[in-house]
Amino acid sequence: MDTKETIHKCSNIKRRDTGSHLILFSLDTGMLLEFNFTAKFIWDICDGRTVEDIQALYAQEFEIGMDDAKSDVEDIIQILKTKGYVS
Amino acid sequence: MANENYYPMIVSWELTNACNLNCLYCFNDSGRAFEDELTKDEIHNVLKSLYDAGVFRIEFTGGEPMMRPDFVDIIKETHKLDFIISVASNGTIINENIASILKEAEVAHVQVSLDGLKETHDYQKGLIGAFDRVVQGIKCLKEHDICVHARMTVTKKNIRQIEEVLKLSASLGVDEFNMMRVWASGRAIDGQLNLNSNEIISLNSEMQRLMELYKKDIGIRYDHCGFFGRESFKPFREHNERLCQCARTTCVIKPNGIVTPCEVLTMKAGDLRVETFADIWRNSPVMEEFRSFNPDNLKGTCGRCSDRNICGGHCRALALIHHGDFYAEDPTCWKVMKNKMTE
Ligand code: SF4
Repeated sequence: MDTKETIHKCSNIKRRDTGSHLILFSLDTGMLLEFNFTAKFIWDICDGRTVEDIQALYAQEFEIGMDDAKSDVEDIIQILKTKGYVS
Repeated sequence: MANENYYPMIVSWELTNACNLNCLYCFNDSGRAFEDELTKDEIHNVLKSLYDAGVFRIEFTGGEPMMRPDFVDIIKETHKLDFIISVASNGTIINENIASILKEAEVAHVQVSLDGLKETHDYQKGLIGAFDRVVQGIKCLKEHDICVHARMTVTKKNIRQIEEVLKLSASLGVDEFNMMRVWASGRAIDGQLNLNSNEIISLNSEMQRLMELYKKDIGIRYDHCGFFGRESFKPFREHNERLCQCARTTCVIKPNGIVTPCEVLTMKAGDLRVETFADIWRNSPVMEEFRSFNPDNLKGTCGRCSDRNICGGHCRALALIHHGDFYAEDPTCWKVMKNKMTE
């Protein structure tokens, strides 16, 4: 994944916060996606930042090393991209 | 708030029992408003309760939902809470004001009934002039660029007009034509309007033909008629999932705030005047009973049917209404009818 790439939320996504979980609903695909607390953090900062910025913020928030942060963030962003929630 | 496997995506909300028409087949036997319908303040609280439970979509129905004097206020408030909104209406009281509010509220679609050409439509809807008014309603919605679904409830009386209604819908700019067979409950419980087995089989073939012919002009959806080979059913077949989503991703709110898993069956799962929606969805034994339904326990023809997993015995409400047994066969399925003839 190109870590300089900027990540944006797609339009046509509705969200519901149920405390520990975040549920996203895509109006385009009609699909639901359920996130845990950490994935929710990543989703919230997909606002035009680069992948590497997101990785840095994630590492800082959860006090983990950059290697772990990189793979977590890449995994989540890959899922979000494949399912059409971010571009 | 998902109850492990079940998430309340869509709630169908009967805002009122009041209706200005007198459809021959109304499963709710709607007409007069109930005395104990939710007030505007109570509706406000229920909307918040639905939001907190994670519901995404609300389908307002009735009766005729637009009969409520506060209908546009309810729409505005629902929109403010970021719900996806759709409305099912008989289409006869749509006006400029209502259409512009629906547009502002970004409604996903408005479903209106279109049961036949003029005479047939008026006959089934119980009002002379209903056809002209619904056509006017559709035009008004389309002038506001609102997505319109035309719902045709197919009965013995109008089964030969499907193609005409489909063509009319396309010419009016309707986005989707939606065909359902009549439900043998409410005013249609005596079965007089029901299709027989041969009619259902030919209806299925006719819909396949019409789909091929008109799919470029208009979206087309139709009920399964007891046939499950269609491409759109593939995900259900692959995941061994039932088509009926009652208590699994959907449920119903009655005009007085009672929650039920299914619109036809008034089994009370909870009361939104005293409980939150999340509590009812998660903890109601009635919801649980629907969820734990096991197609392998179906009886009669349904019990022997190779389609019972995807079909789930079609409509359990009909089984209960007509046989008093949640696991009985559905008397409106063509396979059940054919078997009865040969027994
Ligand atoms: S026989 Fe029963 S299970 Fe089979 S298709 Fe008909 S209603 Fe469904």
